[in-house]
Amino acid sequence: MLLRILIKSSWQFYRHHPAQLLLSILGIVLGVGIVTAVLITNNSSQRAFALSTEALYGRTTHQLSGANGLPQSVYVQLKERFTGVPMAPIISGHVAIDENVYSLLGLDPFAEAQFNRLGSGPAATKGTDSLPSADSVPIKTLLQQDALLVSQISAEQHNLPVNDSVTLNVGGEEHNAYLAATYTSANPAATTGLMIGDIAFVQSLLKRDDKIDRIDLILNEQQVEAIRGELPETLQLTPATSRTQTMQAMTRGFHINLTAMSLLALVVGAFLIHNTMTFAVVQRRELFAIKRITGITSKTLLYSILLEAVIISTIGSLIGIAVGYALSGALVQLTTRTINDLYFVLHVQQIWFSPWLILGGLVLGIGSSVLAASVAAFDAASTSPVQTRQRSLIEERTRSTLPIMAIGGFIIMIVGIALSLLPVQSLLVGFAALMLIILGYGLLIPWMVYALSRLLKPWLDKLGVSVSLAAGGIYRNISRTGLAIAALSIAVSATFGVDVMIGSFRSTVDQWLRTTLQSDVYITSPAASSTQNARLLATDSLSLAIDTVGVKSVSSGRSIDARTSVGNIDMLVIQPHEQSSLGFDLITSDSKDPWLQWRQDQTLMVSEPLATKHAVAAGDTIEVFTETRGFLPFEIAAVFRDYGSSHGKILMDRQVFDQHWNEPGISSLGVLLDNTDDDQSVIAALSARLSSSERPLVIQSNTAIHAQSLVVFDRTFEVTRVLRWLTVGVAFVGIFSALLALHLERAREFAILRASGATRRRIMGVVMTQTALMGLMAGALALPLGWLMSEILIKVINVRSFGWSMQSMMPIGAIPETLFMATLSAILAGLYPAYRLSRSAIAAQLRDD
Amino acid sequence: MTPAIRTTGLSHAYMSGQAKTTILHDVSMEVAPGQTVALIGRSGSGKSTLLNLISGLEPIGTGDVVLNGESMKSLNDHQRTLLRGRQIGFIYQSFNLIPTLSVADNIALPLALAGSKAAQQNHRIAELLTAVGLEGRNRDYPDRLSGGEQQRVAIARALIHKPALILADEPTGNLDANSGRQVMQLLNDLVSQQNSAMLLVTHSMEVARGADHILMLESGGIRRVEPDTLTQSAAW
Ligand SMILES: Nc1ncnc2c1ncn2[C@@H]1O[C@H](COP(=O)(O)OP(=O)(O)OP(=O)(O)O)[C@@H](O)[C@H]1O
Ligand SMILES: [Mg+2]
Repeated sequence: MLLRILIKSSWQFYRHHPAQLLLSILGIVLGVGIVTAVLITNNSSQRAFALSTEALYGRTTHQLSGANGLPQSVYVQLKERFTGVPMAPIISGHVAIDENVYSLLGLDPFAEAQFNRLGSGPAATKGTDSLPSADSVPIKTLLQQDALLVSQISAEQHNLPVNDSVTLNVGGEEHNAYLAATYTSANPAATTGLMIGDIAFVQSLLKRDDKIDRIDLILNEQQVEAIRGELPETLQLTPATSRTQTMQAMTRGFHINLTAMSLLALVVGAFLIHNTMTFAVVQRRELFAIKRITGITSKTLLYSILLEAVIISTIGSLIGIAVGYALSGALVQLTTRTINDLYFVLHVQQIWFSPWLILGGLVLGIGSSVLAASVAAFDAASTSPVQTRQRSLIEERTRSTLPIMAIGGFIIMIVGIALSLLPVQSLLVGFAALMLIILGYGLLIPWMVYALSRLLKPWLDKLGVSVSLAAGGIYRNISRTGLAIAALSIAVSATFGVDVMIGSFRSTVDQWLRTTLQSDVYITSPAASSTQNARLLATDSLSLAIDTVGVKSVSSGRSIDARTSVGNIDMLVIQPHEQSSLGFDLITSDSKDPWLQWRQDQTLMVSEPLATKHAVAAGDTIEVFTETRGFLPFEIAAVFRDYGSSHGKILMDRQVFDQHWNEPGISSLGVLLDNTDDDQSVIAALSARLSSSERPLVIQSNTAIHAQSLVVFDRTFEVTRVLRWLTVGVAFVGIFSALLALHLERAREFAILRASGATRRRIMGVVMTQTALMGLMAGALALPLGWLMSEILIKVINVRSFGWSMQSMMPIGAIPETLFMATLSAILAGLYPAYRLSRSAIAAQLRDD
Repeated sequence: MTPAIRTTGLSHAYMSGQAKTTILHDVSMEVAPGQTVALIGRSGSGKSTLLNLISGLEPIGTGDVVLNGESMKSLNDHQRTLLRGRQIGFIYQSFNLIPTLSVADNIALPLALAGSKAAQQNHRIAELLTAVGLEGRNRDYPDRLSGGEQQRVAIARALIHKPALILADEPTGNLDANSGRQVMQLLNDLVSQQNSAMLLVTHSMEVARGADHILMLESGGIRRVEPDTLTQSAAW
């Protein structure tokens, strides 16, 4: 009953301060929204990936593959040897129609019966020659000439002409195919962007000669044993799940990084929610004091404030979850693009959502709000009604606790820094360190604000009454301003830290590209997607290139997906020219001349992320699955820096490779010119000699590749940037509500000034100067924290999630930019309160109560 | 001699919902320099409203207010504020001191807002603190002073810039009889020393009798009453 009256009174308060209520809710909406959006995004893309592999594997339990595909004959032999065991040959690749890239799966319609791919219903539905649920997946139509099936959703989305022929782009070459039909599957989301064709047709499309990619099998344990016993060592039978795991591991770093960003937003969000709730409570201290005087117990008061926080934060969290859901649509697009750029082709069709998400969002929003409100509520409830009304007492008490808070904050920061220096690989520890540093610094800020504004006061006084009043207002109201500045400062430092991190990363990558692109001109086949390995070049292209006038020397490269003791790793096989070795920045090596050692048999080099993730170093060996002799140990001659892949990379000499693989093809050429001024004419000459309309080639100067790589880099960090701006948005709402509360609480004070002869302009001046000063201080105080955060992000979080070590670099321009941004956002946020105060009715404010 | 303040035909009404409630109707009065005029009237009769009109805190509708020879009606808010800052000192029932400013800073406020240098202020602050009996308390915070002490700070603030007119709205309303008497004594002394005019709203007959004239607000109109008739008509 009493509680109801109290709630009613809260409602009355907010009814007269609707802006406060809206801001409180908005702060929570944004905080919860960002985290929800990132959670949904991460889960959607991971789930889409899992779904699509599930759909593609069907009931497959095992896969048989070699180091470099396997001859079709193996399938024929195996089928004869193990009659009755379900097995199906598979070829997969990518094709493009116009701008859209599709996964292409080549399969044998007659072998598919048991596999139940595409989740098309229970297996063995019909007779022998029929395919699973022939109605939903008309695989029989594949038997027509050049026929392809496409998923219904993709056909609709991209307006594909079903029952008509289309032009496919396969590695830059054009081919005709007939879109025989569309199919639907049990889980449409899983099969978006997937085309299916007869294995023979796909083989010819992808120019696989007589090779297939793998054989899918459905085996029981005895069969596994039996087949393993008969396999040559050049073939490997692996559980179907292992490949999925490898691919998921590839993107793990990326998803972790996204989560890190959202956590950062969460911390900022929590701080701001705390800020908002605190102000909502302290603003009514007088009101609460009156209630206490009228006989309401402190316990009832406490409950009523907490209940209010619960109600407000529930509304905010629910809206926040909805906003996050809406936002995730855009984020999913950004992230899939990055995944397609960097890892593999992925179509995310379904935005993932689960009731747990609602629960999580509610816990987050309500939890942080109630936590924040409880501190302020407890304070309001525990001070005696008389003291509550003595504003100067509050300030004095706050002032005396500032040094204690500062010392505590300092200790917490030291613990955080110590934690970050621990030689462990745990990402969690890294995050904990980051959070402690932020928290500790946050506690330090009010004391610094107080000291700084006292210190500057004599100088500021010289600038006139407005500035003097404004500056004094900061330290005289430190219990309020300290909190607001801390919140803004932390928000700004987060964006500054992320800026420095991205800037450092970009300059490191830029530098690395400069070193790594040693050749003047690169020649590759066009690829259907940037993730997919380009097709092979013609066998004579190397000799043709060397003979071209103006060409000094040529290196060749071949990328291959190698199976190793540490998982599937991208392997680059190169036949270097005289400058190739300069393109690799070696971090660790045992021998005097690692390049000489690398040319010996059974040696290779690995990239830094691989070395970091799998804790290997120069001198160690890893096993690589070779085509001719199966698993063989290779010694690591050196570790090289590489920012091209977070999953890791192996570098192998062509001669070493040729001893263990029967794969003479090359996929790229690096051309060194006699004279780089003349590169355009040599490019033209190379193009004339090597490229033809049937076999178009991409011939690019290193500057063009450099520029392209940076474009991909920038795209990768677009998500981070979006999140950063959202964080700024949260910060802005936070500072806005803090300033509004702060100044409205002082409305009477400003009315006194007005009565004593302060014009409206002066009031505007005082308020704006004060908010600008607060913004400037927040910006200045954000710099050290931002720098620390960037150090942790670069040296700890990034190394642990991607395995990349980077040079941290302070972009000088970011400092004034940060100060400017903080000041500007404070000024913008201060405009409305300043306007309100300068216009408020003086007489009403001064009326005796 | 020009009166420190004169109102001519001043009327004022508040809109409450659709209805218009007239609070003041055709109020004309004046206070000469050095003179103290007590303003009495029932609660809600419009005493504070009149003070607010005079000081320019409420915009003037009908009629005019002439402050030290200057008509307020023709002035905009900016000009009125500047005029108020120079010519008027305020004293309120609830003191209206800024809690986070020290006693000295509170007192210095009108001077500071008028742009005078700190050095010039200090001498005057010390002088006034002594005059109101609060020497040495300049660094204290007002919300931890007693009511009587707070009101003395407010008096010092109202007088520091030697305004032509002091407006005091029930200055003793929140004080007990004894400290009320002391505060009034002090106020009267200082105002007459400075030769300022004072318009004093009060509910206390004792305080009203100390003034040079007594004006009473009743049903929107103002009239002069004699001190000796007060006891009967005073129903408040
Ligand atoms: N802003 C306003 N809007 C509407 N009505 C108002 C406003 N301010 C004052 N009033 C009304 O005007 C009338 C006069 O108010 P005023 O404060 O001048 O009275 P007062 O004589 O000072 O009373 P008291 O002795 O109780 O202080 C009252 O009825 C009050 O309700
Ligand atoms: Mg009144």
